[in-house]
Formats: sequence, structure tokens, C-alpha cells
Amino acid sequence: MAHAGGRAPLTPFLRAGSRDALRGGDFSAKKPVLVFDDVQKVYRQPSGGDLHVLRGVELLIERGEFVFVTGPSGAGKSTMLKLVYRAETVDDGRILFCGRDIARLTDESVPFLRRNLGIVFQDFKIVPSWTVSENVAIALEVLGLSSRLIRQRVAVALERVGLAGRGGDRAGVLSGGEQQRLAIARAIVGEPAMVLADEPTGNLDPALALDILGLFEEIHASGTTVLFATHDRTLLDVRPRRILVLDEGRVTDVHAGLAAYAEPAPSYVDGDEADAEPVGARPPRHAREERRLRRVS
Amino acid sequence: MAGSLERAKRGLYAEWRLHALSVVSLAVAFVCLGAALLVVVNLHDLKERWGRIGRASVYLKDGAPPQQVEALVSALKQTEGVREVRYLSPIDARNAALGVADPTLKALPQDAFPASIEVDVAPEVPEAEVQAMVNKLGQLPAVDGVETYGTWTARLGSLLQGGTIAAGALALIVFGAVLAVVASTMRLALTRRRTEVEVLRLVGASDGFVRTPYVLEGVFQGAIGSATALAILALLFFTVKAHADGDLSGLLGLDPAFLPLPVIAAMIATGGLLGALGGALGLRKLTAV
Repeated sequence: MAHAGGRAPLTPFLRAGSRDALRGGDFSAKKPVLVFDDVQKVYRQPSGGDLHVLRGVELLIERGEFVFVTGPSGAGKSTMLKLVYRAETVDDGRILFCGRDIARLTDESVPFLRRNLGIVFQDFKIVPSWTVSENVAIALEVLGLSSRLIRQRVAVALERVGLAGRGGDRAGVLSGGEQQRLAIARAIVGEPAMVLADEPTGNLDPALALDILGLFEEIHASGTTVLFATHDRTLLDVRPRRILVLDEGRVTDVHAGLAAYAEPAPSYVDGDEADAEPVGARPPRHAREERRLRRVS
Repeated sequence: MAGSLERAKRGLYAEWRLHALSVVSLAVAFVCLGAALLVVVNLHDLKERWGRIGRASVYLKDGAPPQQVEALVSALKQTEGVREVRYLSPIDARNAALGVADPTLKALPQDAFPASIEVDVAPEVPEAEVQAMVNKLGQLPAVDGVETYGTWTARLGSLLQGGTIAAGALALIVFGAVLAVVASTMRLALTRRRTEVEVLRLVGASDGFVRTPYVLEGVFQGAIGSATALAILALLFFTVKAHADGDLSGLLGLDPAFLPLPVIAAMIATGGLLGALGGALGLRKLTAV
């Protein structure tokens, strides 16, 4: 689907004060917070060929959902997230975030989009020379909040991620797990409509990875929508969550984690794959997931 | 703005070696400019002073009749705009020139210096009128010649004009150098603080939010560079002046002065402005995230 040529005017992406309604507290009135509509993304390669990273991706995430995106390296997970925070633009199709087409935003409006997103990366992306508090406060400083309010909210965010009392420390002296907690605090301090996590546990050992996942679970429990990209299958097994499997630029599977193991295969699962699984010792869906995740990892 | 100032301060502190190097480079450039301005300002003062001195020395011919001389003195005293008229005999002139100093010069004959009439004209008298008076005096039979400061003022004027042009050219070079130094420093700072810019981009900072601290750092660099240059220049100026004060004053008829406050303020402001421009130039292409 080609997007319209018109560009959105330079206006704030969301009005201040409208964010609470976008967080998932009211589950009775679920509305899509993120929609991928036939999204295509192609990179031109130096050799001259085209690399199709995303091929007609369709996706709908409702407010308050926790969704895993998984797939092998190069499957397009990071690209998918980059399209959401507009580090990349779609070549075709639409991405609607809170009802607004991200592709049609002007460059000047992109900061307003990002103020409604919390982004966490594998390499933390914190400023080591700044203090812990400064690293978190910057997300509020761009919003122009008063320094008093910033101090209060930073303290709350640090407490939520278990870094209370570390505000004055240099970020560079924190351990890997603590640095990721700091990055999460920065992502949530602005109470965004959605948190995007791009392999946030990739640099952490398994115990710390579970710890960080637990933190995301807590954030989700408070009503925040979370889109979590990972190739670590152990994380996918922890709780029953909706899982999107990306492979060669396509969403090849959508299922609801462990909770769906005993359920029959949904109609959108490829018929050949569904039929190929032996029925018996293990439920067909479980076996299918195992096989797919083996490919992923 | 307070947040930007705070981040600029943090940036200056974190990259103090880089900024110190830049400030030293800027200070060297501004010392050159300041020195040129110092010369131009003092030449200008000298020209103004000499231009204001309406003094003429009317040299009398040897053997000029005393009656003619008295008549001339009397006529000059009654001339409008003339403040003082003083007759100097050859002996007075000799004493005034030699004072009590050199015993060898005291051996000069009594009439080695010509008699003269020293005329002081009020500063408000236009130069054209003074020149007309000088021309009339030169035609009198008792007068050998008339000398004024006009020729000196004219020579000083051309020297000042040349100095002003040279200072202007130097200023352009200095401005270019300042822009280049600050822009390079900012580009380097931006490279070293790429993560910081990435983080700012990711949390939704606008272009202005990202750029402002760097531009402020440029302002500080420029202002501190020019202020340092002025401090160095002042130190040199007053040291030299302390050693040669009397000689300089005697030679020039003027006490050399340091740059006036408005010029100092303008130099610091120019430094800050150029720093801001250099900072903005250095950040033309921010790292895109």
C-alpha cells in the first residue's frame, strides 16, 4: 500500500496530558497503539542489488500489550523497531502509531513522536560521563518540565528499576545490568505510550537477562505497552506472551507463547507446517514453536 | 536555556583540554587583532590631539626691526581665535631647546636659533582659517617662515588610514581563523560526544535542543579567547609603558592609552559572536539517528 505524498504539519505528535489515556490502564477500551499495514523496507546494497528487509509486514498491537518480536539475525527485528521510532522510513505501506501515520511525519515532528516512546537498546546507549540522574533526567528535560518535577520523577524511575540512591554515581561505573536498568529508567521516566526494546538482554548473562525481563514485566503491569525484540528463546518461555516471529522480512508466525501450547493451531499458521507436526507426546503447536525457535537461536 | 547552559558547562568540563587548546589558538589570533587595534586607537588619538593643537611658530628674519615685530605681536593678539602670543628671542629659543642638559650644545652661539613668535589658536577655530592666517603671516617682510602641525597631522592621517586598512584586513583573517578553529573544535567535540547526541535524538530532543549547548560552548570559547588575548595584551602594554613612559610621552606628545572600554567590550562580544557562528557552522550536519 503506497502512502500518500502529503506531509503532516509541524505539530506536537501528542498533546501533553494525553498520554495517560494511551497507557494500558483501561483494558476495557483497547485500541490499537501500533499498526503495521503492508510495510515494506528495502535497503540498496553497495553491489547494486536490493535487500528486502521487511516484506508486507502486517501487525496490530493494542494498548497495554506485551509483544515479543523474535527471529534470526538479519530477520528485520531491529529495522521494524527503527521504523517505529523513525530512524528509518518505510518504502511502502503505513505504520500508524496512536492513529498517526509515522511515514508522513515531517522531520521536525519526529522528536514529538520519540517523546511518546521509550527506547532500550542492547548497547544501553547511556552517556558514561553523566551521572545516573542526568542520564534519566534528559528524557524529561526535552519535555521542558520544571527541575523540581524532573528530580521527583527521576527519583521514582530510579526506584522502579532498583537504582534508588545511585543517582549521583557516574553512569560509566555501573555494571552492565545496572546500565541496562538505567536505560530502562530513562525509557519509562517520561511515561511513554510504548516501550521499544531492541535486544535489551543481548549483552547480559542469562540471570541478568531474566532480571531485566522481569523489570519489563513490571513496567507492562503498570499499563505500558511493550514491544520487545529478542532472539533469546529462554526469555520467550518465561511467560505466555504474544510472539511474532520474523523471518526473511516476513511475519511467519504469531502466537501467544506458552499459554497457547495446548490450543489448536490458529488458521493463519501455514498449513503445511501445521500438518507436518506429529500428534502425540507433545502438542503440535509446542513442537512447531520449538523447531522455529531452534532456527532462531 | 538553563538546561542548555548546564549541558554546555558539562561539555566544557568534560572536554576541557580540547577547549583549552581552542581558547589558546583563539587568544593568539585575538592578540594580533588587539595589537593592531591598539596601534590604530593610539594613532587616532595622536592625530586628534595634533589636529586640535592650533599652534604656529612664526620664524622671524635676522635683523627684523623691533617695531615690526611688536606691531606683528600686537596684531596677532587682537586676532579673533588667538589665545596666546609669545615672542621668543634667539636666547629664549636656545634656552628652551637646550635647557640645562648638554654642556657641548651650550657652546653654540647665542644666535644659533632664530627669533620667533609662538601663536596658540583656540581648538574651535577651523583649520582653513588657521591656514589662511599662516599664509598671510608668511607674506610679511619680517617673517622668514611659518610652521604648523598641519603637515604632521596630514602625514599621521595617511599613516592612520593605512593602519586602519591593515587592521581591517587582519580582523578579517582573525575572524576567519576564529570561525575555523571553533567549527573544528565543535566537530571534534561532536565526534567525541556522539553517544550523547544519539541519546538526545532518541529521547526526542529537537535540533535546537541538541545544538544550543554546542553553540554556547562556542560562545564561551570565543569570549574567553578574546578576553585572554586582551589580558595578555594589557600585561604587555603596561609592562612596556612602565619602562618607557616618559620617553614615549615626550616623543609623541601623548600618553599612550590601552584600548578603551567600549573597544574591549566589543572585542569580547565579537569573540562570543564568532564562537557562536563557528559552533553553528561546525554542527551543520548532526549525527542522524
